[in-house]
Amino acid sequence: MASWGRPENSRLIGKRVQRLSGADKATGKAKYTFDINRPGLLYGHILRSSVAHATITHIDLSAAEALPGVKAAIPLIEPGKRVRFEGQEIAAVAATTDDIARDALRLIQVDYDELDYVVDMEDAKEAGAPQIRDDWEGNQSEPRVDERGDLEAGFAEAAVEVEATYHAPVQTHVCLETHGNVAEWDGDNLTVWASTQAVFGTRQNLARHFELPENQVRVITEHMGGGFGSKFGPGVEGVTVAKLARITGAPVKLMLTRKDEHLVGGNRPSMTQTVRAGAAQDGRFVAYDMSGYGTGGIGSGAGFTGPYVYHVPNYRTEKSAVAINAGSARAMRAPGHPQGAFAMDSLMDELAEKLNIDPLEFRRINGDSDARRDRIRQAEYTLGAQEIGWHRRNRVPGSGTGVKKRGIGVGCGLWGGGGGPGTEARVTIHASGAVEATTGTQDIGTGIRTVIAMIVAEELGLRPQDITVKVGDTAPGLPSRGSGGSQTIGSVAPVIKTAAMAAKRKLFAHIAPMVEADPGNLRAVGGRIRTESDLRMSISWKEATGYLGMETISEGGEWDENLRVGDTAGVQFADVEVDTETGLVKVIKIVAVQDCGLVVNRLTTESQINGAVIMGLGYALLEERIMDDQTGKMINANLEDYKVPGTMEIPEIVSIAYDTDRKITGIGEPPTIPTAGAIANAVYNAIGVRIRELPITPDKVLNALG
Amino acid sequence: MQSEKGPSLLTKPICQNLCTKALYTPGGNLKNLVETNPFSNYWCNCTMTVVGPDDRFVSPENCNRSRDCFDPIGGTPIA
Repeated sequence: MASWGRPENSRLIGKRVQRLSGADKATGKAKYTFDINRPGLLYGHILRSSVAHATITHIDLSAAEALPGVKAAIPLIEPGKRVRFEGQEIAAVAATTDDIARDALRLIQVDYDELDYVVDMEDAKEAGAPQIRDDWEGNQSEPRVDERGDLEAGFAEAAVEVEATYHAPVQTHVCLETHGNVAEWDGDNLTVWASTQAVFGTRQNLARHFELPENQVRVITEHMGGGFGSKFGPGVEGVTVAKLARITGAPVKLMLTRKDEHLVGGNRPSMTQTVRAGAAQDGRFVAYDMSGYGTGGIGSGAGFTGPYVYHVPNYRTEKSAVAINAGSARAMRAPGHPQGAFAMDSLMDELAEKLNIDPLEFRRINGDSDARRDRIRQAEYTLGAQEIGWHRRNRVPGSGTGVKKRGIGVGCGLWGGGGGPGTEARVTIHASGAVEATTGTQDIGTGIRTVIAMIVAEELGLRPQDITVKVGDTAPGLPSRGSGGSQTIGSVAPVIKTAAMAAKRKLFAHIAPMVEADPGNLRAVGGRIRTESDLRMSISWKEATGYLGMETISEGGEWDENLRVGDTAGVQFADVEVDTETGLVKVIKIVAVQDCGLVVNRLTTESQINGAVIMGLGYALLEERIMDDQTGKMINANLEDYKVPGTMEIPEIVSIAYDTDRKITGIGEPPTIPTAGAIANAVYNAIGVRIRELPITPDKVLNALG
Repeated sequence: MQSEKGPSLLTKPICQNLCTKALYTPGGNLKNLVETNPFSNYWCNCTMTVVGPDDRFVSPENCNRSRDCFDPIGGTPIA
């Protein structure tokens, strides 16, 4: 049975290995979709609705078509149909330059019959609000009710109760590489360079959309600049660019602008929840009654977690989604979890204070609802508390002196991330000694390319840079699933591992007669093939592969469930400083203890945790889509007014990639979950006033302080 | 392909143009195509938006034979 072996025997697994693509990315050699320039390339752009809600009555493309340099102008919506948010697609053009394409958009005449709109969630729930979805009465989805235990009995047992309302805003994905594609036709064969999290999924979508067999569509994602859940499938822009390329007979590039990205590139839905909760005198969490809702714009998917992480024997929850005239939500890094975690961890601290119990102790008492996770989480509490200096926190919240007050808080998260079947891969050994690992996954910036090289190199006794990794292309016909749900490494690594094992076995069988050894007695170590009985006897890797002559070894692998594990636990601690005169919250330090199963590349794992914490910090303190109810438009659809963390906001981050197993798991999403709750609790510990609404901006702090 | 006629194992026909994240990711729960998952968004492969070609919203519950654009997985059953 395959296994990852003992840590002391691992030469690469668990070590810090720099990204194989690092130098290419730093020097600009790496080609992202945006960098793809084909001979005769045209530039595409999309005209978007300037109003929040209207019926389209007329679209006139003639002036745009007449502009020199414009090669195609097409409608993307038929007159008579509705636009339901600012930014919805109206028409598209392809032109010889980017500037001409932008100019052409300004020449398109669109007539709207404007309708009433609503962009505020509370307004949308009011009687008489404009109806946005035909399937939700009063703009609200059918509430989903979940119940467990006996809520009444739970409250009867409670010694203390907390009633509170928590709110988290809409957050947009802010992928640094915007959504986009380059499309090129060769007869009825379509090639698309896509910024996507799923090359095979996108191929299937395009094939179905254009009624082609899958083998006539090729999708390539060599490098990708962030997706965070928003880049599954080609999107409107993907099918539009392919249409423009087909009409013009030329390759076309169409990348969304930054404004487009905010309006239509997806978002994390908001959350408003009102909760009543009770705890017994001995610290047991005994009752939880919560109702809440969120908005995913015109789309669905506004669910959020709660109760969360901690064991709650008696609860009732009622959740729904509210439609407003804004761009649709898409999956975003741990969908539903960060907003639920923020509310739950705030509530935990509020209950603990009423019981006069240390918040960490309160969490220890109310362990994780899963026994394995709880064992890990209890250890994470200890590790993280030591690293942050939990003993330094204010015993009485807000009791620090001076204008700038420090505070410490804790938050938690959980995630799946164990991967699954559906990946095919091949490891190929050539007579020259060259080794290739090929599979249809895509490196969305997380470093799977390097991880694949490490696994193969470990198995074959080589260096990661000796392995050529081919990913992000459907052409080799080795499918892999999309990179989402933190499932990539758990899906890909076992297949790569078993493929490398199979290729090595075949090589050993081939050379065994030449070196007069039993194949089972051969070992690949340090770029040489040795016999286990006498490790001094060896031949070089190239000598060994040289014996292949005209033969090439190319072996596939199989997904092995025993090589991966799911259900991860994470704990974070925040140390903040709040300026009580300006209201500014400065995060001094975050300690992130993340259950990682088996860490493959410690460097990129820590990098993942760092990135997730930074995104969580933005959610806690900075990010918020602001809709103007006077115009129905997003008023901060840029990166000046929509704030994401920059170097001034990023604190010291101690990322503890916690090895809990000798099995692999994904951690792309889980470390972004606990951050906001930890920061919110730290702010309370600093100033002694609870802020229940994200982002915790200076105005909210000052208002709270009175 | 000729197949023997009999009762379908599927409890509910699903439109092949109904998309959600679970279709793309390993271990994605395909029941999300049968019943709306509150954590998931849905879109149509014909329009790439949250409404179908008929300008009505898509979801596992909404995408059914009552809509002209409904295109079941495996094609329309032969009478």
